[in-house]
Amino acid sequence: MKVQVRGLHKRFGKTIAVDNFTFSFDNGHVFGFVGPNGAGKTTTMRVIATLEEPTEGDVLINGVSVREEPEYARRCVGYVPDSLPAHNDVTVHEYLDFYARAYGLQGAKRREAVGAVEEFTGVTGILDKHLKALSKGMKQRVTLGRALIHNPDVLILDEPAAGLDPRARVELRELLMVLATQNKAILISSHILTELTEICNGVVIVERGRLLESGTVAEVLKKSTPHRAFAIRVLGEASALVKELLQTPHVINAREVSGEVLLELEGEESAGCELLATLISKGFKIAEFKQSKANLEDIFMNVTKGGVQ
Amino acid sequence: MNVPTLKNWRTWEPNPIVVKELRQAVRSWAVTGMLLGFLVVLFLVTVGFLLGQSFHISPNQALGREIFQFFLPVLSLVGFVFIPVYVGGRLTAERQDGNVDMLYITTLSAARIIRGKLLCGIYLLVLFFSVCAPFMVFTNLLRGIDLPTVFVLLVVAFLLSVLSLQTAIFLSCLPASKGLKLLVGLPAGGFMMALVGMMTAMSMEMMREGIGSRLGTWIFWGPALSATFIGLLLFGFMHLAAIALVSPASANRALPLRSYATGVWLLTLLLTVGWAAWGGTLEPIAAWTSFATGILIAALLISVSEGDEQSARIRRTIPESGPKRALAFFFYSGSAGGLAWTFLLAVATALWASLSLDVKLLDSLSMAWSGRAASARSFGAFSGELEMTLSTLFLYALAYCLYGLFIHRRFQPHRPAIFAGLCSIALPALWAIVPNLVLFFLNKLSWDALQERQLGNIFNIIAMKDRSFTLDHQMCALVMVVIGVGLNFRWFLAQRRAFVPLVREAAAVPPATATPPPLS
Repeated sequence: MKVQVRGLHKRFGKTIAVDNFTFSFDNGHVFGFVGPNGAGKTTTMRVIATLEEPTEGDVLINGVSVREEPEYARRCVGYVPDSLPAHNDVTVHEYLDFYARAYGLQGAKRREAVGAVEEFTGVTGILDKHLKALSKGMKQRVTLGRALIHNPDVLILDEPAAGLDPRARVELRELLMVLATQNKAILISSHILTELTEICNGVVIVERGRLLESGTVAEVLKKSTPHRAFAIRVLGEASALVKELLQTPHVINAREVSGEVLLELEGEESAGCELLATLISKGFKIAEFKQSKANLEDIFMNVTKGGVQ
Repeated sequence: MNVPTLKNWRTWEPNPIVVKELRQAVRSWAVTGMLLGFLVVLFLVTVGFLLGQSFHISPNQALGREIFQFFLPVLSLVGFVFIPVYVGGRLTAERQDGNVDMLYITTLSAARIIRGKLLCGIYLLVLFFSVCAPFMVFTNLLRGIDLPTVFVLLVVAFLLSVLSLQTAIFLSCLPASKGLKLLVGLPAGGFMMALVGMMTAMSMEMMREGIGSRLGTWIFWGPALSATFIGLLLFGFMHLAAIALVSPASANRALPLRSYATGVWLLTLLLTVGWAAWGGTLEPIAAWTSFATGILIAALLISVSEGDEQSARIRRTIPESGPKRALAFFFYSGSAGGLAWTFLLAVATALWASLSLDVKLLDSLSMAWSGRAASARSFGAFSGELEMTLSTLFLYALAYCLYGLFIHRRFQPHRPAIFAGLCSIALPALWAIVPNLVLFFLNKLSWDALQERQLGNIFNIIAMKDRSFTLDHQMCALVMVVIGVGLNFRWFLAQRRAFVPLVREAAAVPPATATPPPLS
């Protein structure tokens, strides 16, 4: 199941919410969709979920346009919006049962699907509780259950961790990791980038309606941070090490931060080994020498400019 | 349509919307509170009347009627106002942009959603009517009202409640903000309240005269069937329109509506002809022509608001063969097809009206059927004026719609298609207001000035004192239409040429509905 977003434009009056987004993700991919508020994430997700008509461009799911065949897209896509269910007078079980019926599941198949989702999302203990009486974390689980009720191949999650306490976040992350192993194509937006780092193997970075970067994490990392970053802890004067490093070829930048020396280095992975050997040979007492791996947060900060609309 | 049959009764499942809505309704304080309040009112009224009667020495022979006269407005209020507002309000909330929680991300079709909402409302109506029916039948024992009157009034109230319910659902589906819907809904609510008054007045008249004795005559069935027929037509239109409004933008929304309107046009025409020939009068033809013209003017506005873009999904269904494709052009979504369809029906309406009212074609039909000519003497002079007024109104509307279309296409193409429709309303409104405003500031505005000839002013046709100016208006409207056609002719031809089927790419064929396996 491949999802291709092609030249997507969406205007609301004079505001361009989405300006020519093009990216794709596939089965087994968990794509993080990151960007500041007003970047066009929710709009794009709503287009994929057929809730919004694009002004131009299209989204293809398995080659089928969501504009032309929204019914097909709805069978394939499970959507978790950023708003939580706020129904009066509906219990958790009734809510999930309704969606199973709405997706055309009948009889034993429906009961089986509802039961499986209730178990998977861990809501079996609160089936008779009214939706309004649930905590945010539990509501989020119910919403996730609703999106999974028809076993979609594509899962679109809009800020699923927003407002959740640390435990609920960890539990949600665990659920998503299980889903990722079930070969689903997942697009997830979140402001908590550290959360995404652990589960995403791809990323789409957007800002002010424009797409800045997209691809696998490794690809984007390579593009956004062409130099390798290292942190060195040295026994003795760090300033001497900084002075030495600044005179060493391929070292782009070196500075002392809280007793550690941070530096950026050009070249392949072996350049780090060579630098370490050189420093030892020059008599520096190296206590620690480690390569700092950039995470989504670093990539995001490098790529975006902080603009909102 | 999901209907239980002998074959599928074991596996049949009700509409999910009905299940959910009813679950929510029975737990809702609004519904249960209203039901309890309703019961309390019925009980207190009955007890109050009976206690009041116990203080009188002579028995009141019309006590049942008096109690019934109190019950019916209460029931009408619930049926015409409360339940439609409850169902419509819920649907409006679900249709809000921010609320993605509900139906529009599932595979439920638009028709099932609307049918589910309607059925839920009908079940609630049945609940309230069932509660009320025993009290109402009890009034028969207290004298002053016969059982047929009770049942007929209950049926009338029920049918009107269903129509109100469908109206509320239609209004809730309009693509407008909550505020705008409220603005449209308020007059509709006012009308419903007025309907409660009308229903009460009608019931008093019926109770006074008694229905039982008339049940075997046309005096009862003639108006009853006519009203039911008109109500059904309205219901059908609003039901289909509501479905079209919640259908995806890529669907051919116009097809069911235009097919329905064409069918209704033809059916009402045949019925009117039959009525005119049988009754030996031309009034039905005149009434039908006036009504049809009004509907066609509304259809013009809807057509220009449809836009030019036809989704690939629609284009894939355009027939290959020439004659079929030519016919399909009139019924597929799109401004050009809509205008062509409306114009064609308008020409047919005018032609038929002219044949009936001027050429007296109906006379021969009427002579053959009822043995008398179908032209009422007093109607002769009026018919020519009516035809002229109606045709001028339509021509003006057509001209303004063509201008609206041109302005949208030429100057504001990035705006949504509804802009053309809004222009088509704004232009005649401006032309009607601005000259009179100028007269006002020149201190020359008077009733006489308003009733003078104001060419191009669509409202002036009705307000004009000297009817001989209608011909001037007609000529003016005709010239305006010619200019409008000139402005849009190339666009229309381009639209007609573009109306060709799209070849489906093999990759874009959606696979058959997959039954999702349970989660592991």
